[in-house]
Amino acid sequence: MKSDRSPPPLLKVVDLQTHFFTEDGVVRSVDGVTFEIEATKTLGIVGESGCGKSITALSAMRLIQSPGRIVGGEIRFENRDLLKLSEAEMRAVRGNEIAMIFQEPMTSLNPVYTVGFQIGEAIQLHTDLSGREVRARVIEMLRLVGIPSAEQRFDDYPHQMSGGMRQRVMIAMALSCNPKVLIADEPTTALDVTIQAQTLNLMRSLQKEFHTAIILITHDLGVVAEVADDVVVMYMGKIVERASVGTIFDAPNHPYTVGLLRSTPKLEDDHNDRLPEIRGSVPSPFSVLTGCRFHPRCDRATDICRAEEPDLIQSDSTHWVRCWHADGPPLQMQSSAPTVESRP
Amino acid sequence: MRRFLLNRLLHTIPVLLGVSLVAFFVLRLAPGDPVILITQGDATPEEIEAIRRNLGLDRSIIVQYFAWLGKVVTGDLGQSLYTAQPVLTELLERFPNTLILAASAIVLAIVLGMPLGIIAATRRGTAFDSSSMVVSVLGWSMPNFWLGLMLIVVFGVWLRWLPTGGMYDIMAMEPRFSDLLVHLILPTLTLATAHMAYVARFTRSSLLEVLSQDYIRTARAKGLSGWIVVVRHALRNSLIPIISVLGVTVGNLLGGAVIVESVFSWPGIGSLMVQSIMNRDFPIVQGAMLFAAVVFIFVNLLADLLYAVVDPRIRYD
Repeated sequence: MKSDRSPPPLLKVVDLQTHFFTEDGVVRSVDGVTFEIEATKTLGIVGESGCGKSITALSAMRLIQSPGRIVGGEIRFENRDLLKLSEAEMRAVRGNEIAMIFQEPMTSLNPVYTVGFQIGEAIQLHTDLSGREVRARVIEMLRLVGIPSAEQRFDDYPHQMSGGMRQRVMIAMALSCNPKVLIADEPTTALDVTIQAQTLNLMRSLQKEFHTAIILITHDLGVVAEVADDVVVMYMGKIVERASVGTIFDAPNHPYTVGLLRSTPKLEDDHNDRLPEIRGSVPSPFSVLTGCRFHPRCDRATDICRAEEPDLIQSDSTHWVRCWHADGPPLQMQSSAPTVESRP
Repeated sequence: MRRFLLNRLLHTIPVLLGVSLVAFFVLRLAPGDPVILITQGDATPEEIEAIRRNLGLDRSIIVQYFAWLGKVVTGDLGQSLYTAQPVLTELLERFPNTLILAASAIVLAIVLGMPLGIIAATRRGTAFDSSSMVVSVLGWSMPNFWLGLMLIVVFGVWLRWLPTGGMYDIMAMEPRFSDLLVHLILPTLTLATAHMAYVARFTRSSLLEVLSQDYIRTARAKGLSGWIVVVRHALRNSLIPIISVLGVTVGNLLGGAVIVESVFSWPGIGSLMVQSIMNRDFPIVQGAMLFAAVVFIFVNLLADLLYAVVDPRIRYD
């Protein structure tokens, strides 16, 4: 549907800042996030709940609701700054050039309209197709995402479908206008494991077919390992590490990334051992932290970590780390390493 | 569906029996004798006794009840103690008037109340939101007899713009539609104010809840404009509680807006009921109460059926 894709990067987020102005204070949910994604690539954004990964995604779509507001930065998409577009211009981008699927397939579809209508709505909005052509396109999309007897399911309501089916419908809806970027916010979190794999495979095959760039937001490192080309690790609104997926898994250099990796259960682990965890918990978003945001939970924190915030430093062509000790000795990755708990 | 309807109709039987009991006994337990009122104290005890026997009021109250109920089952609601007209005829004569008033009040309440609620919800936290909600609290808490009297004083007595009561100009030779409209304004406003306020509040709160749902975010992520999201995706989902409220309201109003009809001498079922209570015209009061109950049940059944139209998840089979 769309041709001559511009040279990479397709989407570039620069120093994005999205803050929430609540009665209890300002929450800097996204605080100077920078990343880019090329066409047909998959970027994983990883982090704990509340680290700002979903807010980053919603910001890219300019779907932040009050009391939140994008207060700074740029979102460059094909040489346009999305933050400078009018609301009407932005609506022409949403669902058309950048589409999004959400975590909760059970509640992300409107219960009072048929799935066919809901998929067709986006097509109708962004194309000049006639009613009949829209219907044909919807059925084609339903087939593409692997919904059996698509023609009959067109008139189904969401409640007549399972969670996995509904997520397929969401994917069909998001890809119906052949977007250049698909933002998938925890697309498999609410699904059964087998359905998760099916959904990821589906996304991957559709990506090949449509040449879509995918931003995959997840807290599941297994999913990232499976599908991402590059990975961004976020902690408290900031990127702490950014690298290719191989580097993230083989040579992570931020203690938080390492902590996340170590706390992922592995098949070969002794299941009687306690799973390593990251000590402490994420501080309140209202708390004022000086220095590195991760220092209260970090094992290699020193005085400078407590005093000054490190920048995101590029250590090689594809690897950025926000840590004062990035040059230090490599961090222990083996699960035989002492767990955080047993340390003093 | 048929099963659901049959079930609901069966359920109405005990409800109507209950209503008939209350309607029959409450008025009879109250002081006041219709025969005294009919004769206005200007009759010999023998005459009074004859009238009483004639009207069947000399039998025991239980016997009277079952005699009445037996007739009601066949569709005969009895006769007015005063006009000797069949009760059903009296009711059906008045019902169109009640219908006109109730319908215009409900339409006004919806036409003004829903947009008010929608705007308040979409501009949550703004001055418009808070001021419209203050106004709606006022509208809801104002007693309608008081509001009616105030409107009569201002528009009927001081300004002399509008008639103070009735349905048509009593001097007119024949009823004219324009005349009806003019007479309709004040009672409609009085009746609609509270309901409008209620509809606005309900629409606002119901819509606010829906607007925070995930599927609203999906709709926005498709690129739909704000108004389409609200009207197409949010409003329909927020209708269920609004329909419930309207079902009760419409049911109530169609049974006769007792106070407003009396204040404006509107010849509907409500004012007929008040008059008949004053006169101890038992058959009319009983008939009107039963009638109101039937209308109420019917309207709420309609509301239930409407849920299924609005929300495909609700099915009655």
